[in-house]
Amino acid sequence: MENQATYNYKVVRQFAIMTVVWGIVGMLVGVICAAQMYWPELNIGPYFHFGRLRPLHTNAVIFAFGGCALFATSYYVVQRTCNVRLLSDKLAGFTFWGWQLVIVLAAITLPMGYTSGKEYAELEWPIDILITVVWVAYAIVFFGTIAIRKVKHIYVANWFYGAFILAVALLHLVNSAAMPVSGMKSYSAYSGAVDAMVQWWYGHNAVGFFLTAAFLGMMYYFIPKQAGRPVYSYRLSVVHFWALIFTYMWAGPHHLHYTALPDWTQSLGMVFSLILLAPSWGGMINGIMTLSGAWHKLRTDPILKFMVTALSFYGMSTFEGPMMAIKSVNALSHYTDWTVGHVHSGALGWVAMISIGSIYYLIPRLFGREQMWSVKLIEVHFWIATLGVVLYIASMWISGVTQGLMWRAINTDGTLTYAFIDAVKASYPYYFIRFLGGLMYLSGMVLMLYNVLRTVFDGKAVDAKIPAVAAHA
Amino acid sequence: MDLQNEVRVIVTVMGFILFVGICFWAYSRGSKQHFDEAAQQPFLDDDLPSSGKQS
Repeated sequence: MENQATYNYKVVRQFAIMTVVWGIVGMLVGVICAAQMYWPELNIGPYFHFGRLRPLHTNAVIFAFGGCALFATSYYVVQRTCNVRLLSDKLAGFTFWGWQLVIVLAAITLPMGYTSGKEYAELEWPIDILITVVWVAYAIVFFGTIAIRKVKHIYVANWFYGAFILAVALLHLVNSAAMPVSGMKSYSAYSGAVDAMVQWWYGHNAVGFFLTAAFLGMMYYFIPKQAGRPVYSYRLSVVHFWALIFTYMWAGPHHLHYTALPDWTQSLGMVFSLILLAPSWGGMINGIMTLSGAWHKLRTDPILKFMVTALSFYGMSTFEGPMMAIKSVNALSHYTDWTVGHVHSGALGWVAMISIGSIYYLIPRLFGREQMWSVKLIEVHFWIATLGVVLYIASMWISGVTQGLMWRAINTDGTLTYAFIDAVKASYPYYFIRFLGGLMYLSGMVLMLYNVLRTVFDGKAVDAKIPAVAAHA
Repeated sequence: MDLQNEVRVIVTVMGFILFVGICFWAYSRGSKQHFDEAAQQPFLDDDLPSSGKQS
């Protein structure tokens, strides 16, 4: 039955559908967390408490939603640009089921309170081992497919995906090094300030390689394809790639300003965070300029709108990030809602929007349709999502700056002007606006699921034939 | 410890030189044609399903 001369679209279909499903689950948990901030009575029992749901939210949106989007798009891009079927169907299938198992285990163990306490790496050691096994399989499939490619040049998107796979493997292995003491409990291999530095070396590079480099891989394939124009400057994309690789690894210490971390390390982290502005904006400009001469398409094409808005938010948050890494700014912003706003401008604005655009691109192609069931509905999704992000980040900016200013305000005699509860009261109305913004973003995802399901039921799962002749010598 | 420090310095300096080298290489006249072709790579591959033809 399986024709050797087709691409493996099955695994792409599986991951693409689960991207939408996990997106809804992860964002729903996020909205529940936001509601708990506004209506504290919603913190019911130990399993439904904010402290346990919050890591479930972050893990679900980053690794379940974002992860599935990356598996789906990387498997699609590597096959199409290498002109060859995935190295192994069995191994690719294993990465799908293995990754889903990791997600389900996370959804069970985190509310039960099993956690290693490391942000974005909360899962306990048995699950960490499973992640490692799945990741090695992913690397074999991806790099193996590149190794048997029929096209000489490795397209730039694959470089970004490849860097993501290698870097995440390294980060996961180093940061998750721990000594198990029982079936579901372990202690970190590091202690004190070293543990904190390893954690944020991991944490920031998870942002840099999981949430940035990999999604830039999406950008370099799906934006040119959707716009019908080659990337603005391929040379810039090469410099962009290597500049990110050489600088991102150093920026982690900015998460530990004014802590027990040595002062020089903090300053080093700050300087490299500022340097990062250059490659980030280089990449953003490269993506946006790809549309030069095709700007009119933005009027009619909501998928392109998603992608270009994603780039705009990428530019915004990669400007905001380096600013917040400056120690004096960080003295105001750290531990406030500003950080939460910044993260969501990157996560909802950049990561989710470029993924949503790419999935809308993929679904019709995977199910033999010329376009999505309703393009109008994509347009509606776009506007709901954009308004939702704006509400979310604007409310968190105001709330965060208010908190920072109130915490540092002192009277002439040196006593604090405000009690902590005063700042909580001042933030309270903004938590409702944040809840609304999140709810809007979530409802957009529900529209997407409906649109995707209609497209799937109208269409038929097809595995595209591999073009007989290699693209070029 | 001294050797360790020297290795760190050497690796950092080498990394920087390598990066500058990559920049010059990427923007050199010789590689222009190669990169222009590479940019066209996704477009030589038509991935739009022609409705109903494939099954």
